[in-house]
Amino acid sequence: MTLFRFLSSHHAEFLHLLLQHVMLVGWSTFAAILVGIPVGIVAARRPRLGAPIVWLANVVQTIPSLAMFGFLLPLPYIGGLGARVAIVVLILYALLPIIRTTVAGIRGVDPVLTEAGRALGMTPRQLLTQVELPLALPTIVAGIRVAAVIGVGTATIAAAIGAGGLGEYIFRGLSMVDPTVILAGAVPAALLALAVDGLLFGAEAWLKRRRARSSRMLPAAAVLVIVIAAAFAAVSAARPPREAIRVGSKNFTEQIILGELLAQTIERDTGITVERRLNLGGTFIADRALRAGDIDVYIEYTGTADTAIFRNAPETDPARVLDRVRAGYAAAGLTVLPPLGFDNTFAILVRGDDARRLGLRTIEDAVPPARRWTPGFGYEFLQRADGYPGLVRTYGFRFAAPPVAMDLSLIYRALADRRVDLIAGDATSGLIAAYDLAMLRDNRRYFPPYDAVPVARAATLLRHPEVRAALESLAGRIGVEDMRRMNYAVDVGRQDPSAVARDFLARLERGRTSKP
Amino acid sequence: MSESAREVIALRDVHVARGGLPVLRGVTLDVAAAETVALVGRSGSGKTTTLKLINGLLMPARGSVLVEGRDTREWPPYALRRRIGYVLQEIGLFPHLPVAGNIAVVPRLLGWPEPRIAARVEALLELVGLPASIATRWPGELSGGQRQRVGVARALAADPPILLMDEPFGALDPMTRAELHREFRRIQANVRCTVILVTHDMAEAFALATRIGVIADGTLAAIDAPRALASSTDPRVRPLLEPLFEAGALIGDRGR
Repeated sequence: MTLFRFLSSHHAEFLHLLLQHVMLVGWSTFAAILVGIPVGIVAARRPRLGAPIVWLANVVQTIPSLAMFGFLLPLPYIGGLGARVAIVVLILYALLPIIRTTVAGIRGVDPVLTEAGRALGMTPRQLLTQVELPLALPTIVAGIRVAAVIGVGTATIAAAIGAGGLGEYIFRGLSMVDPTVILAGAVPAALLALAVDGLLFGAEAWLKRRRARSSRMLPAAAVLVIVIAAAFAAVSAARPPREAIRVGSKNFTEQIILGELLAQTIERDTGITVERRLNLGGTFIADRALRAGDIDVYIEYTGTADTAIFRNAPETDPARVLDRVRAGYAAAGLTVLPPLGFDNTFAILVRGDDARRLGLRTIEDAVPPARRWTPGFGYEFLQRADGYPGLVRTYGFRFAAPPVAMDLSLIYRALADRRVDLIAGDATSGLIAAYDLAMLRDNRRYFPPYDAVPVARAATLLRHPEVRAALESLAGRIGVEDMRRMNYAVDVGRQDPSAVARDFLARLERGRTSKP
Repeated sequence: MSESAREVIALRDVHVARGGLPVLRGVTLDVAAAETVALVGRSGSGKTTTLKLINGLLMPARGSVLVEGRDTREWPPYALRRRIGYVLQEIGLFPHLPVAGNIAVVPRLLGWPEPRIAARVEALLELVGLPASIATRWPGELSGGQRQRVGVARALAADPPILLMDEPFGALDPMTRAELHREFRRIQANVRCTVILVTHDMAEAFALATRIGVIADGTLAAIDAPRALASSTDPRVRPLLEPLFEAGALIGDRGR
């Protein structure tokens, strides 16, 4: 019912995404047919050439789709964002079933019939077009059907690189932990797969005339199960055993480092066993895990908690935000400990060379050149009250193209590679220096403060006052430069987050002993 | 009239090897126009190979094969095959074409205009004794005997001067077989083309052929008119004749 309400209130957007989805699958399948059938014909005719071709297509098929998107993104010509890369990836996935069934279809033609064709005086080309292809056609259509149904499923992942389609709802729903939004993407995608499957099954049966088999539901049902199961598997989290402090984190580098910092500090200062439940997911997943008792503590950002969790209107005074958040958490039996010291605000970033060339220092400075720019934002930023809509209102942005929605992990690279021209990243990202990006100052104070604070279950702190002391020992000790350095060490220096956290704690320790 | 002009098909000391093993070892055979020659032999004796030599699906390793006085190596291969009707043992009707489409394959390859093809299909169905209504049926819907008749019609479609038949009646029940033998003699009297028929059944050879060739161990052991062949004492020929004596088919010839 809520799904119905969501779809009817978003019907224009829904139809747009559905159309995008259909276009992605349609064009990629069409191109795969144009390439795959001739390749299949050659492979069927020349087994020595065919074996490596089928092997290669097999290998391509085994690459996880998200990894494939990642591989292709930085490539010239086919790289870049959105539909182009998505279509290339979808073509690569569609090729295998089409090539394979073309080979199987042609090789499966009764040798008596090819001999009859030859004996009647057909040239090899006539044999192909008049005997082999017509007889292989139902098999080839079966392959196209498999390719298209797989394509409908894989295309949902294309939303991760900003290609749009129904996957946008799935990703948006995942980062909001809103099953309704996930289902708004997953259910229509599954229905689309069923529809495509049914349509092509009809074509196949029509071609076979009499010899129709009843494998109709198999591929579509598999996709339905995979899409929905994957969506829900990502949301659900298993329950750990008792009597250990469970430290959680969200799913990005800084959070994992901070999780390690908390864990190592607790281990060192209290000797209590710490169970690390890092890399949980987005804000909402971490929050739910904390409230459900699946974790005891994690690092949240005050502005994020205020707007995204407690749904308050954005507020820019750090002290007031901290008070509001503290009160909100207290009502749920959660305790906010003193801030760590740095503010991980949203950073509006442009390329360093653009900033120097145009003399950009503040976000306001970027408004005139942005008329020629395409921005790129993460899913959460596009949705959040303190995200994209308010940014546009506050500064009066007018972009050349609507924002490209993509995964946060890809966004810095996209900016550096000139796929987009302005992004919202994290002020503490190690990639800012690595890619020579420039952070524009929020001169109108649009973004709320995002002071990093440990949020813990009050019951745990009561049971273990030593844990509270350990966590409070970190108060004010981590500056924004410290955080950037640590992020850089992991993201660019490829160091282990736990090692980076250990080094940092060792340095803090030296500072503490030498200072007083 | 010179000897060579009468010979529609001539094999001259033909040798063929497959995978290093000899299949035919020096076969010489002349077939005159409107003759029906049956090639009889055990499985694997080289009968089908002989047919494939004639329509150019195989080339001899040594010796030569002449069709209408011209070496098969010099014939344009597709033109040669379109001039030679071929009935396969398994018939090999195309399942994706209706009966009319199957019969029309060679005329279409030759680029006949459609009205001529339609008229030809109709005439051929009548010739092979099938109702005109069968033209729109699919091969999968036909009985074995009907399929065999369609196969013959397809082979005869472009009015070829030569017809090759590879065990054409092998898979049929005896009744249908006897009926098709009668039909074959009627058709042959009608179209008067040169026929080479491959069979392992001497009775069939006796029923249909004007001359019978016995192929054994890759050579042509004997070739003669049926009655003359029946009195052969050749040890390679006698075993093939035995079943006929047992069935009493050649009782009148026994004492000769």
